[in-house]
Amino acid sequence: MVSLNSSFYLGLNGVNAARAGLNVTGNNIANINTEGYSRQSAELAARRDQQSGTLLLGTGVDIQKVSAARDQLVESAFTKQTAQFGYHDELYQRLRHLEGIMEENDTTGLAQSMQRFFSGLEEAATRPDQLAPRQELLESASSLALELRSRYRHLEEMQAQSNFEVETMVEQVNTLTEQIASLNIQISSQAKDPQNLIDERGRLINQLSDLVGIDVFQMENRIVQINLKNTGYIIVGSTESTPLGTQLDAANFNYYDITYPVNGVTTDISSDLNFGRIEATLQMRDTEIPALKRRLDNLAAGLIQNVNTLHQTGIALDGATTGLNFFSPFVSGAPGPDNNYGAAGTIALSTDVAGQPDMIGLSATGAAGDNTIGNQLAALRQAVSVIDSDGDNVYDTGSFEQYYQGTLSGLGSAVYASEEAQNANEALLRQTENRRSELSSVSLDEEAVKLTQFQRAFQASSKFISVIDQLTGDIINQLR
Amino acid sequence: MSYRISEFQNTREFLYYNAKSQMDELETLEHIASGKRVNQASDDPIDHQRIQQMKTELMENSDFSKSIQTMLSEYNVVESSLNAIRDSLERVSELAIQGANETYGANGRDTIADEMEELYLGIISTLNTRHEGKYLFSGTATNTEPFQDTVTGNYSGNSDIAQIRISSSDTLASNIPGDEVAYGAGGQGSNEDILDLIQDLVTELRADNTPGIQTNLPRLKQTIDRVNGLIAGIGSKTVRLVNSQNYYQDFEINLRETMSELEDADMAEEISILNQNRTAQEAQYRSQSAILDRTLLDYLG
Repeated sequence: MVSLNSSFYLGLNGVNAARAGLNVTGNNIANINTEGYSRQSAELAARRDQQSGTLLLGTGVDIQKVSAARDQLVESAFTKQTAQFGYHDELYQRLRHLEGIMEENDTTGLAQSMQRFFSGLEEAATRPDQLAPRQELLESASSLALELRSRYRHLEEMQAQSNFEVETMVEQVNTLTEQIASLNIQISSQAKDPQNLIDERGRLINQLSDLVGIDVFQMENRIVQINLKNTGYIIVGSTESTPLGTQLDAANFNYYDITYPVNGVTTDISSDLNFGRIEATLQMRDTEIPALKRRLDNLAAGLIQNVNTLHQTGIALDGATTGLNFFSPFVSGAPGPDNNYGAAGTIALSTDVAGQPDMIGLSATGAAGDNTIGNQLAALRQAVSVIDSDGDNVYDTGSFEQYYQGTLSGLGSAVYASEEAQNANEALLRQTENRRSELSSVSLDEEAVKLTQFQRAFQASSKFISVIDQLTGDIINQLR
Repeated sequence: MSYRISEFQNTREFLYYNAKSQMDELETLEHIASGKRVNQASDDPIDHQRIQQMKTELMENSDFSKSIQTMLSEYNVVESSLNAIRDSLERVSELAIQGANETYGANGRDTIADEMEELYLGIISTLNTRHEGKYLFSGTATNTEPFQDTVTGNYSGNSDIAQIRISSSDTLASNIPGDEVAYGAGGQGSNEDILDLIQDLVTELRADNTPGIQTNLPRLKQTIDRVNGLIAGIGSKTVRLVNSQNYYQDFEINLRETMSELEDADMAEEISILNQNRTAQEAQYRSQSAILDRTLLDYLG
């Protein structure tokens, strides 16, 4: 027979279950704003029946476990999308910055300076015997040189900045992988799923994938293994993380390479990274900015060399001095993509003419009114073969102004395309985030219903106890 | 399709679209404030390049226009100088005809010779005209006074002609060397040499040699014709310059028109976009506040 005493415990069991349920609900509500939190629910199951005489009677409820609404497919899609968005977002922001550096408007800018310089040449060629237009020419040439140098320096600063950020990001990656590995240990040592720890680990994994593309593998014992995306480089193993390293690359202006110990040998894996903010930053540092710098270098080298070659044949206003340089000479290096490296960073008026407008050689005969060389210099504006675009030390493209316009619009197209990609990936990320929210996030309406549900259960179980109590009292009273 | 919408999906969507609307609004405001549709290359890379190209062309045009302006003002001075020389030669011609007349006596011829010498000096001084600090008739040696020796009439300049660029492919001579003006194609001492001619006339007048004066009369006519030829040459060059300048002006108007089509914002359109955007934002705020107001917790005891 079932004793009344045991019924007390049945009631208590119900109260406990309701309390646990309330607790889970309370926890959900408390974490409504927690990033990466997956809503939890208490999984209840009826206890095993007990033989009572000829009957099998229920013995109450068991809380089997607290489960979390989490879907591996959705989680991994989110991780993947986070890495892609991280890459495109970082690239877009940085390209925007780059476009800002090259900003051009109605009053300032490299194109403006270049126009002023050529106007100065035209004017000086029209009135070669006068000092005023020569002075004007020197001013405009010097401001063009300054403009080139300062844009170039900004690009170099941005490149150096990207480099330091790569180092910082690698440190962040290492901190994250270390934390994930330590969570792995804690999670695997528990008997039941420690949902909050698993959520925390998931949050860290997403932070990690924002920085660098990763593949996440679910192993036994709730452990995750993390590889760099599409590679065999394990950065989080079952219980320990392998930190990425940085080392100076002498072949790349002493910028940092990212390294991984492959079979114990420190190996440069910079080019093996896929997506994430690190790849975008590396791409800026090693591809986008150098390409822009190269174009400025080509422009500056073409300008220096073509102007100087003509200017050396010109005779100054004194009718005798010749062979002078207009800009400080720049000698191209051996053929190769960087043959003009640094030209835009150093372009300046030569000491032959700086501050001495009468030393500008515009005359071919020595006569003050002769402007033969001046005209040839002015015609450089329209010349179509003045820039070496492919690093073979042969002038093959032009004109100066068109080359620079091409540079600007190339950059503009890159920014435009990257903005589109960023928008598209943001939309995709939002979609995945919504899918994840649908499944995992807390809904207050739902929790309100559960709250009421467990409240009622609690009240009913309490009532049950009070009924048993009353019956027990009645029996005791009968014995009197 | 699950019907489960979590608490902050709404909020996230709202924040996203609201931020987007605000970005759009900012962009529209930028267009309205700057009056331009294309402010950076990334706004429209292709149009941006065309606009830059046109700006360059405009600058080139204005440079060439400026050169033309400089030349026109120089041509003006050259033309009036040549006119003055021609007028002087006309007077010389009148005087020579008077001098050749047998009725004049030796005294009369002396007076005529005196006036002719004055005219001679006047012509030399005209040939030494300076404009903006440079000698107009000394070839490209513009710092050298071309006719320093009034007795010999020797030329100290050179015979070079400076070419000025009036378009990317065309140049135009900016000066007439002094030896060409004074001596003509035949060079110093030739039949058409103005200075030599006047000196000869003076010599004959002082010598009372009327046949000698008469033999020089055809030279005078020849020389005046030659100077008229020079004046006509300058005139036709002036016409060409003015034409070019008109062309540049028309071209500039066309270019600015095209550029404006490419670059400028359509204000009516921008403002209506702004209004649409405002309406959209209003709707976003209203709907979001309606959603935020509503939760089951309000209805449960």
